[in-house]
Amino acid sequence: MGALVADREGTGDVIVAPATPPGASALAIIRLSGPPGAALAVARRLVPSLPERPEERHALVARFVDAEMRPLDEGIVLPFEAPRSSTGEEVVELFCHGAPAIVAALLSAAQAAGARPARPGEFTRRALANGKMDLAEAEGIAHLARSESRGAARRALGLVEGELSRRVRAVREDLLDRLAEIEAGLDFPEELPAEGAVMRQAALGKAQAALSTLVSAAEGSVARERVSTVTMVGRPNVGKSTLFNALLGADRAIVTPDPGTTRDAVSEAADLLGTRVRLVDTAGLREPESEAERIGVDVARRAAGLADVVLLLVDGSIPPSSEEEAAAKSFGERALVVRTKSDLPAAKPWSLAAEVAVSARTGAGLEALKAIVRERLGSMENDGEILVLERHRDALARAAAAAREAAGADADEIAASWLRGALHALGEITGETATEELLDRIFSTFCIGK
Amino acid sequence: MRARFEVVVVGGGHAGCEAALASARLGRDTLLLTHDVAALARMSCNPAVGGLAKGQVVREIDALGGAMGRVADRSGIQFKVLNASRGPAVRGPRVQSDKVLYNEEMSRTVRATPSLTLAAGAVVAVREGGGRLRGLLLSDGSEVACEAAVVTTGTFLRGLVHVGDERREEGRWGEPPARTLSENLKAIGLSLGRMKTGTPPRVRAASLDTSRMIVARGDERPVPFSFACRSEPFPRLPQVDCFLTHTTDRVHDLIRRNLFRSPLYSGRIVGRGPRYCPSIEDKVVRFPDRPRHQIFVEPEGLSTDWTYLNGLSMSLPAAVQEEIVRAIPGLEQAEILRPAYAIEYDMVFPEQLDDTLEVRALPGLFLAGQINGTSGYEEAAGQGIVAGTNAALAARRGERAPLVLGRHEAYIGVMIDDLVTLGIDEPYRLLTSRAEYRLLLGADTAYARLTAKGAEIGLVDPRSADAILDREARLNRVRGALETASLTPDRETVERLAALGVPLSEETTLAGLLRRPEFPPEALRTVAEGRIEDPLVAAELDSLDEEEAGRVTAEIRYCGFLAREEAAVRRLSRSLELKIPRDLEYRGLPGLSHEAVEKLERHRPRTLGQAGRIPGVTPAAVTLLLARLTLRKRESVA
Repeated sequence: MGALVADREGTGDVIVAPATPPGASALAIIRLSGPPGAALAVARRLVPSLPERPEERHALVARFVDAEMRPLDEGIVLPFEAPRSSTGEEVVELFCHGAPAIVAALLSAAQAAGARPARPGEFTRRALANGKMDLAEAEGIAHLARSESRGAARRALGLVEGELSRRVRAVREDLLDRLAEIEAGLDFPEELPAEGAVMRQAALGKAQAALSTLVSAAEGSVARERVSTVTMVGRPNVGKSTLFNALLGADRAIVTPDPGTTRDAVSEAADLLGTRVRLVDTAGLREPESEAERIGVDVARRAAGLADVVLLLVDGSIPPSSEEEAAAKSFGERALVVRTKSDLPAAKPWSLAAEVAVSARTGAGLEALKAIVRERLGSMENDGEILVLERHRDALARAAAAAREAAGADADEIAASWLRGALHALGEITGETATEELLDRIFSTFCIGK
Repeated sequence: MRARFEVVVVGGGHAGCEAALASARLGRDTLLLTHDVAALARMSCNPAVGGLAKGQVVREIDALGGAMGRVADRSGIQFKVLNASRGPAVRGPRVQSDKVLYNEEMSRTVRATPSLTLAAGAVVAVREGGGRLRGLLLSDGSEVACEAAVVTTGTFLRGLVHVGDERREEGRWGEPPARTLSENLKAIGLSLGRMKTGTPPRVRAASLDTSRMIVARGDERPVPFSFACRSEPFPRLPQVDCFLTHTTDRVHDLIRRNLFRSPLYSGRIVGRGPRYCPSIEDKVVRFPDRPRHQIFVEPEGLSTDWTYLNGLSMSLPAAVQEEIVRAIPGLEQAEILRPAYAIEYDMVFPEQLDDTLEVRALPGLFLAGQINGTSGYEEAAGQGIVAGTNAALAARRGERAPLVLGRHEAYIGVMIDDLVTLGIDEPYRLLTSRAEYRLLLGADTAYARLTAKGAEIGLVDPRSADAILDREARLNRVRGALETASLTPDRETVERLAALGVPLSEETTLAGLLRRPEFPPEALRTVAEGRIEDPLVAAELDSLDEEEAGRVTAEIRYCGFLAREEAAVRRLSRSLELKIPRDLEYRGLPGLSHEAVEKLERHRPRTLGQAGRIPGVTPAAVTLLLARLTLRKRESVA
């Protein structure tokens, strides 16, 4: 059965995936696709204000919430009725701000609402199945088919090659052995004694432990995959944009002596001594004077809230303000206090402990800052594995849940059914199917047959 | 013999009998042609029917109106449900049969069936014309014209028996093989392979010392396979014991010393043998750490002295066999009536068939049983009923859609799909682990799964179908009533349940109670008393027999899992059941690898799901096919 992994698990499910590339950007689009009514039902959990029958192809500004109904972002929701959509199914597109954490939170909320992560090419497959593609497009897929040997599974494997893949295989081996024992006992009861639930539970302990370690590793890894975000905050004119440009080596942010020039959060991919990060420049932290500035400050607070490291820039030439002190406190361990304009004389009294002093003008301290940020980001990684995609994490979580059910099942055939589910989920990562291998194992391990 | 029939079935073994009976039930003028009309459904190996997965197949055949279950019930001398302590989906009913009476009972059935003619004859070639089968050529030079034929050659196609160095061209011990049909099948473009199987020695019962063995008894309350035998005196025959003994160090030593004389190890046997039914040579070689292997001692009938040594199949020379047998506890004085032997035979790689079991290269020709690479009476019979039905339907073309059973519907469906989709490289045996929807395929649910379908085609006569479906409806009513009958924790109820060790603190239903693992299901009737509103349904609950009550209980207890598997089946259906036209040109499809084209052309999958199961067909190739099929559909609409 296994080759058709993608279809086995539900052509009628609602699937979800970002339609825009990973990483921070101004906007991101999340797409839901499913049977009529189902995609909208999921969307409604993310967008409580979505009407019962929204007008199709009509954009609505709305608030997005997470699984616990906490506000996440404001954005645009755009519904498409079947079959007038890209997949031919009911499709809902959510346009949100492009912070990876917002995208991740919306994806989790969609899953909590019943959608599952789309598998590679699944939107395309649905489009094909519903006749939404023409020959030229189909031949594009043909080209893809030519270029790969085992298809999506192999490609996925490429992503997890290395330590994680080795560990997934080890768990899979272990589960296959356990399943072979159970199956052999079921099919050859006269030749093999029944194992019983207690034995099974003990035998599955190792695989379960390994799986839960894998799930946490994957969760860490998924978090990392969204590229760490470093956000700069500080009072107006403290030199955020100057530092931003210095770190970037480009004139990206607008630098003027007028306070409040940067109203939106500006972000750019940067390379900090080999570590790729999203560098976010924000509006200044102070009571806003205009409506535009108010929005800018809100954006700044939100962006800082989602950052992995917050660079709190303080002007070394003037004493820290109450806002700065409050900010340092509220960002806690994520805050890194950076004294700017180190080429100017330091002010007294000084209440904030700066970890590094820089001068964007002379370049002094820049390398030290980069090293400290990189170290901070590095200490947040768990065991230095390669990235895991969201759907790998999903597969691992399903495998872990199934293994848990198998251990707890009171009948071997039920346990076997769960174990097959677990192997099937792991097969989505490794691209291997179990049935034939299982039979090989039964016959080579047990002396069976009269 | 007349020279024209609608359907001809070649071979009178387990596949052939079911095929001929099915065709005749559908009213086709059917000829069953076999080399020995006295040898119908002969048990050439073990004297038993059923077991895990196989027992389910017997029930499935019964649910489709076939004969195997009835014949096995009436000739059974020991009934036993394997895995009786486990859940219903993995219980395997099995019977030890009286070989002689089995053969007689099947003969009676065949001879009593209207529109079925039994005749002796050997087929040497198929006749084609206009791209389809037109008839068969017999060894005496005569011809029989027909619309469709089912060929079930078993181990007879170029059969070669081995005992040590001795080799004889035989289809079974002492019976002539089919020598020329293989060449003819190759001539119509089929690719043939060679398989091997084996059977253990038979010994004389009177020469055994069963006091040195462990007694293996049947079930105290035997359950029949067939629905019909529920209303007959059952069991019909006196019940007997089997015995259990084991190999010894000396046996293993003898085998090791004589291994070079076994054609299996000397390289004289080229056919591939089954892993699940290894010879004793294999067991000793492959599992050197095992100090002993079990031997089941099984009588072959009430009126015969022949006894089957299950677990001791081999191909060593007869003299060595005697030494080996006599080194086994209880067999010291054993008199060997027939030595163990191995047999090699030709088979047709089954991926050349459609899931109707029709040969793609020659419409009208169907194959069933060991010729398709399977082993086992039940596997053969299961294919026989499908091939016979489809041959009958093909004989009057276009009348109705062929009988194809899904993997979620029947073990027969799992088997045929495995055969025609995956192909095989060893003799195929059904196992419950081959079924991904095992929980849906219990022996007890065969009627619910198949009888309505069988009745619609005409395989099950209306009266039997009514009786069977009536029982299904009754069980459904009882189940429904248990789900709704409430149970409040009043004092009397709480006390009554406490006495059974079941605490009750809040309101539940009788079904809810059954789902609690601590509740003993046999107490259901007492607890249910006075709680089911409809008196008719209450009476129906009371009248359930043990098996029926067990089934209702199990279905209530397992309903969550059943629902999960049913949901999986529903999810599977949409794009995977997309039909692939028979004439699809794979070679013209851009992007398919050579390997995929080759596999797809060889296997010619009927559905997208089957395509995806073929080893070597990648998910990307399946996507491509999906694209192509979708485009075709749109073009044909436009």
